[in-house]
Amino acid sequence: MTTRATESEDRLRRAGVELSLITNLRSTIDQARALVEELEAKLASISEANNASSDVRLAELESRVADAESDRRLLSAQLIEFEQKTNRLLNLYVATYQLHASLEVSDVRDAIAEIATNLLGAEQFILLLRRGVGVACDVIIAEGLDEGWSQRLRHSYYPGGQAIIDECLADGVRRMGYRTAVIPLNFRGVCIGALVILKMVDHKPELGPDDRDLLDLLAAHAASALYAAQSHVPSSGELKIMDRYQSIAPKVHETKEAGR
Amino acid sequence: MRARKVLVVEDSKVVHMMYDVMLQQMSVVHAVDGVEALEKLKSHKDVDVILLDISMPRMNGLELLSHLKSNPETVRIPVVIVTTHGKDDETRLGMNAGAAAYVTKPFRGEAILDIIDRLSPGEA
Repeated sequence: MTTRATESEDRLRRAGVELSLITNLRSTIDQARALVEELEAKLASISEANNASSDVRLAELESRVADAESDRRLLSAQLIEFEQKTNRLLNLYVATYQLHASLEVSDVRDAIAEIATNLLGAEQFILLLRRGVGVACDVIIAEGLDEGWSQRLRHSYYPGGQAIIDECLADGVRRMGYRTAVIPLNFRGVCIGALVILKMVDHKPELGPDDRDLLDLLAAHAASALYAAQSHVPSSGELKIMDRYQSIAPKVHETKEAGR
Repeated sequence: MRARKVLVVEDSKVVHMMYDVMLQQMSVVHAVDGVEALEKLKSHKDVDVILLDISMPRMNGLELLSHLKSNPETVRIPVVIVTTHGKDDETRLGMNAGAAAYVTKPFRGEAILDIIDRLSPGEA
């Protein structure tokens, strides 16, 4: 516990250093902008003098303005890149930590739902766990569903029939559109379910590269986090992660063997 | 100069942790709903900015905002609504009730830092 706490503190400290670097970069860009403005003002006043000696000075100042402007653009681009990287790492760190922060099934379920809502911007989504080798699934989480989907998932049961979901469950490969995604939940190399994002919030235009990292993380960690939680508290074993795995795995291994 | 103090009112553990990492150079006070936020404000009277979720159990963000703006001790604290919904009715109601700004989730760290800087200029 102490080691984990220390590691977490280290990560928090590192993230803090990155944020402080962003602040410093911002300050440098502001200074560069002020310098450009100052030089432009000087340039304007020298232009008015309009004599031979000022031409040399003018050329020198123009060159300095160009350099300063070029530096400012470079720093701005670096700042944007750094901010994107920091945000991506922050999202991944928080998601990983929260998925494994508790051994209560309800906490893990909440963490998955909160990641989908708050980090990905999902408005309608479902978490499915397969009942066996077919595509029929139990619905473990259903959030914000419209009337059509509520009808399809009566009694918290998904019978199959949505091609994109069924294909993902069958081959365990992520499907990702502009604003929808089906993410396989892999446990010991077998797809035992899927997180299906049906609709994004209106103000998020599309799923981007940063979201892809987060979706991959969910694919790799969500099922194992649920399994760890239900193993820890036997009374919460209704998810039956190991049972589901054992009913699907032999068929999957058989198929892989046949494909060789 | 003292570190700025931010009260985060939010029912999501994920979002609380995001703030913890993002706002490390500030003092962060956490509350999971409006009721707890009012309790925390009794012992943290020097809060500089409040980051407020709308949908929460017990007392939601709009109810809390109404309490804050009707209390002379808290009326001046700038409140930022942080919501999963964009320009919907709840956000509009919040802005009409006296919120200083709103941010939509999922948010980027710099968006929150920029708003805090704007509303409470001080040491970053």
